[in-house]
This record gives sequence, structure tokens and C-alpha cells, in this order.
Amino acid sequence: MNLILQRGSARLTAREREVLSLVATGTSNKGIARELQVSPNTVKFHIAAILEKLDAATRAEAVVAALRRGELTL
Amino acid sequence: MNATSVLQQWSRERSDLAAALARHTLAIALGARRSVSGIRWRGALVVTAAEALAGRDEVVLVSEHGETQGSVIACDLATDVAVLRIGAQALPDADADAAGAGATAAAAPMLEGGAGVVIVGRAAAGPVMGFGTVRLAGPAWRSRRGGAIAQRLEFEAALDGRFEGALVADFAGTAQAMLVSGPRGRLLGIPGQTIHRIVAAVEQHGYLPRPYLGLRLQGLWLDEATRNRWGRSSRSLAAVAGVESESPAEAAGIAPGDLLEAIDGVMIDDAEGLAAQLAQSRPGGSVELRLRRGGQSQTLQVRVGERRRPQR
Repeated sequence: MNLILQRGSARLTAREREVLSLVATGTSNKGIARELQVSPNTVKFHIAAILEKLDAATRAEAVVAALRRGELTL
Repeated sequence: MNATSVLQQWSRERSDLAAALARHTLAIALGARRSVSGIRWRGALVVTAAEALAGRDEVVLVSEHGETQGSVIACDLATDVAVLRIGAQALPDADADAAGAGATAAAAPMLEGGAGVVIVGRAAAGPVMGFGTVRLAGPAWRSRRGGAIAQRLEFEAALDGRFEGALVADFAGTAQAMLVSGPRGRLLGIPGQTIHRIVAAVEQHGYLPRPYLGLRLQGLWLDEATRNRWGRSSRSLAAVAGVESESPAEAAGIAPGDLLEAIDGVMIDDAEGLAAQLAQSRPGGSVELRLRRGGQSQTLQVRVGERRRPQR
């Protein structure tokens, strides 16, 4: 069976949720990199993947999409 | 009197108005060729469009006095307001101009539909200026991103990306709003009152404190029979999908499966609704949540926590 992940429907990984919850609080890419002990490029990579999975054009859209899906904590 | 004098006077008044506002603006360099605008709001604080910063924490600010560093100290994606602090090499006019655009904006009378506005930003090469019309002036609204915004403002003007974060003023020269881009290419204004709320919190704490409950919500769709039985007008309802351990929500006894009806008497339909209401509460205070559990409505007082901030 082929599983096709559709844009906007794939679940976030635990790491992506961590990154997005920091994005939601306005943390900069460098701040996220320090917090998660990864490089800023890795953070950018995660953010690009998050935008793709949530079919979001902006960070704010991604945050709202994840809130709706119950993937972010208020 | 010759026939062009009225036009000349009109033109002169327009350029004088725009030039007087330009001193409140900075260009924010986002790369070799790209920049957006910032508004000198008060003292060393500058505001711009949060989304445009794309996660940067240091930027180069360009004014008529040259370049200086700026640090991003708060970024609120819900209202699209970011607050920056002008770096150690303060701009020469920082003290003389301490009042900033924010001095008048917070108390400005509301803009009305059809009113003329001047929109002033700055690019590396100098101020960028445009004139436009208030296309829509509505009541307070909640952005799709869950931000509580004091007045809905939409403008008609021919502008490019360098105007993102630009100052919008009325024809009396009073600062009114910050220009941001909205969905479908709309030009939106974030009113001075909303910017003031965020800047004031940043001034008080040195950062923007984030309220925190420790809840994850997911939306449910309600059919008409259920809406009638529960006396709700909205088709959607948020269910608690998770409660973080050692969170205020856990301490208050909220459990997965609870249905969230209202916060402080305001009906909540979804997670964005809770986010918008919560954004107006203060960490350290409390909110009243009305929940439906086992078919019964009940009310709980929940202390509002503060979301942990990453170490800087």
C-alpha cells in the first residue's frame, strides 16, 4: 500500500512541535537554536518543514494551524 | 493668482506632511537588497511588522543619521507587532525625539472610512511616501492569528514591500497605525492603541510576558440538535485534548475531554478564540473557565501562569 502524505495533513514530529511552540512565543531562530542546542540552519530547516506540513505561508499561519490541530499548548 | 497655485500649495502641503513624519521612521535591512520600515515609537523602542523579521534577533537600522544595530526584544505574531531596541550606538536624535510617534498614536481619534492617510516608511536610500484612503474602518476585531486588535483598518494605496511596518498618519499628521500586509494582498493597519498595549508591556517587563494555562484544544463540530440542547449559537466547540503536567490547568482540575465553553464570560469556539482572550489576561492573574463535563456545565477559576522563556 502506498501512503501519500498530503500537504497540510502530515503530523508534526516532536522536534517540529518544540520548534513551533518557540516560534509561537516570538523566539528568534537563534534563540530557538540555543534552546534546542542545534544550529540556526537546522532551525530554518525545521521551520520550512513545518510550513510545508501545515500548508502555511507565514509563521503566524503555521501557529494558528497547529493550535487548531491541537499540536500546540496554550 | 495663476491657475497652478492651488495645485502647488496642495503638493507642498502633501510633501511637508510626509517629510515631518519621515523622522519617525527607520529602514530595517533584511538582506542585501531587501528592507522593511520601522517606526520610532518611544525613546529607543522601534516597532515593525513581526512576520517580516522571519525570526531574526539582530537587524541593521538605517535612518537619515546612518546605520545602527537593533535588537528584537518582542515579537507578537498574533498582532504582527515586533518591538526592537536601538543599539548602544544610539541615533543622534534619540533624546530630542524621545516622544516618538507613539506619543500621539495611543490616544489618536479613530480613523473613519474614506479618510485620507499618508503612509511613510523608509528604505536604505531614504524615506518612502505614499498617500491612500481608509478603505475600511470597522470595530475591534480578532485577527485570524488570534490577536485582539483595537480597530479594523484597511487601506487603499499603491505600495511595495518597503512599506511593511510603515507609519500611517491622518492629514493632521497624527500617527494612527502601522501598515502590515494581510491576506489576499490587503493593506491592514495595526492601530496605535494595540501597539501601545504591547510596547507598554515590553517597557514594564523588558520582554513580552506570555500567559500560559497548559491546555491543548481541538475543535468539535456541533449539529443543530446539540447546539439547541446546550444553548450554543456557534457550530464549533473546543475540547481539551491534553493538559500539561504541573500546569495551571492541571492545578485547577481541568482534564482531557472537558469541553471549553467560555472564558471570563466570553464564549469560546476554538483554540484561536482562547488564544485571543488569553492574550488580554496577565500572568499572575486568574481567569474563569466554564467547562462542560459529563453533560454538566461547571465553572473553574484558573490562575494564569507565565510561559517559560528560553534563556537568552
